[in-house]
Amino acid sequence: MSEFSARWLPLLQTLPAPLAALLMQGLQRSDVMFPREKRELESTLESLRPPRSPEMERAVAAFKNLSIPTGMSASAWQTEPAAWVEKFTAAMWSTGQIEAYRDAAKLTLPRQMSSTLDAAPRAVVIVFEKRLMREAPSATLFRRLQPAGTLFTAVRGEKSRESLAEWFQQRARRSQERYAHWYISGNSLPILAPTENLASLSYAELQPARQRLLQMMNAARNTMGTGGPEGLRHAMQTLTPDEMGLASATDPVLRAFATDILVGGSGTQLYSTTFVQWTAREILRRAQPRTLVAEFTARNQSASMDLRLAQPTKEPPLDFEGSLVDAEMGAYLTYLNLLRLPCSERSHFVAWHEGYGQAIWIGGSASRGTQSVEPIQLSALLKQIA
Amino acid sequence: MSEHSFWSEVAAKQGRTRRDFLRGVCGSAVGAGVSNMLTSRAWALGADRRKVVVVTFGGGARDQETFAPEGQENIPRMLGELLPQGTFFTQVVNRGILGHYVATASLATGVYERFNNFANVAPANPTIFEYFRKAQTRPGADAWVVAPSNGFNRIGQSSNALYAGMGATVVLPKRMLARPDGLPAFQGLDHLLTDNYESPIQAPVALDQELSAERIESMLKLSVQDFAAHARTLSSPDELSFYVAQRVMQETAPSLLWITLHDVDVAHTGAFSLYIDAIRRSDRICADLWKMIQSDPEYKDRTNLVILPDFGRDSDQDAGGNGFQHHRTGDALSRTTWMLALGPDIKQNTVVDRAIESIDLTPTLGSMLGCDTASARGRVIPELRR
Repeated sequence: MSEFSARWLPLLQTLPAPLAALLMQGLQRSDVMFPREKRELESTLESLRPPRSPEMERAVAAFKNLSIPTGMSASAWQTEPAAWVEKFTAAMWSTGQIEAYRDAAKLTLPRQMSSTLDAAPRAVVIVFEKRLMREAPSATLFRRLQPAGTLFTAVRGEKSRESLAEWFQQRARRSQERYAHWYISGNSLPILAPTENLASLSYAELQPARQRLLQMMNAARNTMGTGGPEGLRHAMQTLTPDEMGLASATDPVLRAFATDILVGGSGTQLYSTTFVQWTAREILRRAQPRTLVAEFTARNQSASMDLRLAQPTKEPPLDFEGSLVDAEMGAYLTYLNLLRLPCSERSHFVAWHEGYGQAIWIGGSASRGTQSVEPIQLSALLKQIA
Repeated sequence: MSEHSFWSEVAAKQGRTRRDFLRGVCGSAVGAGVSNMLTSRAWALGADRRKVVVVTFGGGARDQETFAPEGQENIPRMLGELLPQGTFFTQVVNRGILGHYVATASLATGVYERFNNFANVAPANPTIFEYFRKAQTRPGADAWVVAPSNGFNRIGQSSNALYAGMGATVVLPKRMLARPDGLPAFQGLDHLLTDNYESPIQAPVALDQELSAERIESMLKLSVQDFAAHARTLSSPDELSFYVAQRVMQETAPSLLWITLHDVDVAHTGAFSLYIDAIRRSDRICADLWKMIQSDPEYKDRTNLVILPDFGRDSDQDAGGNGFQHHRTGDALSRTTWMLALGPDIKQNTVVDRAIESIDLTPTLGSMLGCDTASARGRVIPELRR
């Protein structure tokens, strides 16, 4: 047990088991947490230390009211919190207490913690690679996002990609906090000048780990007998980055994050569009970065799950039209996740399709629900959210 | 835009759509109170000639991808062809466990079953198939279930000893084409064997509860080789299920046929386009099924068709979920879905706004089929009458 965990264990032992188990899960991962999420965990723990606020007293009482099913040890959470939480959650569903459990958990959510990092507006740019196209030569894009921002229908410029990389690196140079600037791609990453505070992840670089994971799932389902889906989930939860073939990544926090994305994300091993959407969600939720560039690229066509598991290295051909639909929803969900962060009213969000030459900008001086048909360079748009 | 104002607008829109759902499409609406209800007994008059076909969308579908204004493009045939002929319920609430097998079992028993969704167990309470067969002394061939393979092999027969041997004939079409390890037994059929994305570990399960391939061949007058040859012309597991259902109707004309579609569950992979494709396919299948019912003298004018998803999917607004991808939050949207019913006992062109529960289905089917559903906890839906 880490020193950090040991410091908080006495407090946890005074709390209702379902709450203690959730917190213990966090403590066990604290060595590989992003700075932001570790600070939030500490803040939650601090707020549970007596004397508590009336709100936290309500939270503790709500957890105390949940009945622990017979046969579940009230103290086993100390050694295997993840397994305890999984079993307890299943019991909450089967005993009709799931709403009460969710409500109790919501009461303990950390208050939005702003920091110096939030002094400057946060920016998210979503890139749709040019191959994501419908058969029709034109398309109405960003329908879900349009009411919130300005749609630019003539975004021009042959060097838009270079402008984007330059804009991203300029932002990264301006603040030093680690994990504050992210670039993720459904294919390969662009060449970016190495900077310590710049983090990146791509579907292509994780290919060996993805395929290894599918191989392990296939082996597990053929050998685990009665373990069932829960047995599989447990086996996957205990995988280490080394077992996933991620040993070459030097940063332990990034290695653990990549493992979480592939093991905990449903479909992240199969489809690049899902990988990008889920990774963007988790980066925003956990790292709360200042800059995020997320590129949606073409995913593989749908194929039998059994086939993908049995033949993990066989990746089906690409589906460009379907990927565009996925990316549109992915961009929308990413925007909603951005809104959940502190100071979201000052954030900027841009989604840009490099093939159709369309972009939507939400935030700053962008008017809601408007459209601009005037030609504009992507670099000019990005300059406004520098 | 701030998080609060954006979501307030979204919430207001959703509230509006739930209430105004389909206004302008349907001519009339029935309020919460319906007087002059027929009793179950009166309702069952002539029930010996009645047939019932139930279609569930295992996989859950949200309003915004189906009957809400922004989803209506995905269901043109249900909207244009079926809705004017039927009664539409805008709020069907599922208060049970949101797992597909357990939820479908709950629909069939009229009781919120509490077993582990991934376990190979039979429902504890009698199913509509057993109520019907016992009350009407019908043979096994008069009640059929066509279901996706994983986990649904126990859906037709409860563990209640009083109803032993009175269950439905269950056919799992994919299993006729697969080897025990889940891979295709015939070439070119990978795409039809796509299975449950929540639980790839679940295949294979015990085969002893379902009909053998030989018995199916004999009952449906269809060799496995011919079946495989036809299957090659189909594009999805649900189309395969529909093909088998058609065959069942042609060869045995059961009074009670239950079809569980499952393509929609591909949403768990996070690929929104595949989820939408599956909804569109379900739309086509439901419309074609009704067409077939009306063109078959055994079914025409004596068959009530009931269509409903087993539940919804998570809201985009719930931070605990990931939008359409899962149904894990237990939020209102994931618990609320719709139902469309049409047939000789059912009012046409009618919308019902009051909330009903998914467990109300079995008592209502019991009334249509002239059988008492003694253990069911739901209530007969009074609006489902001419």
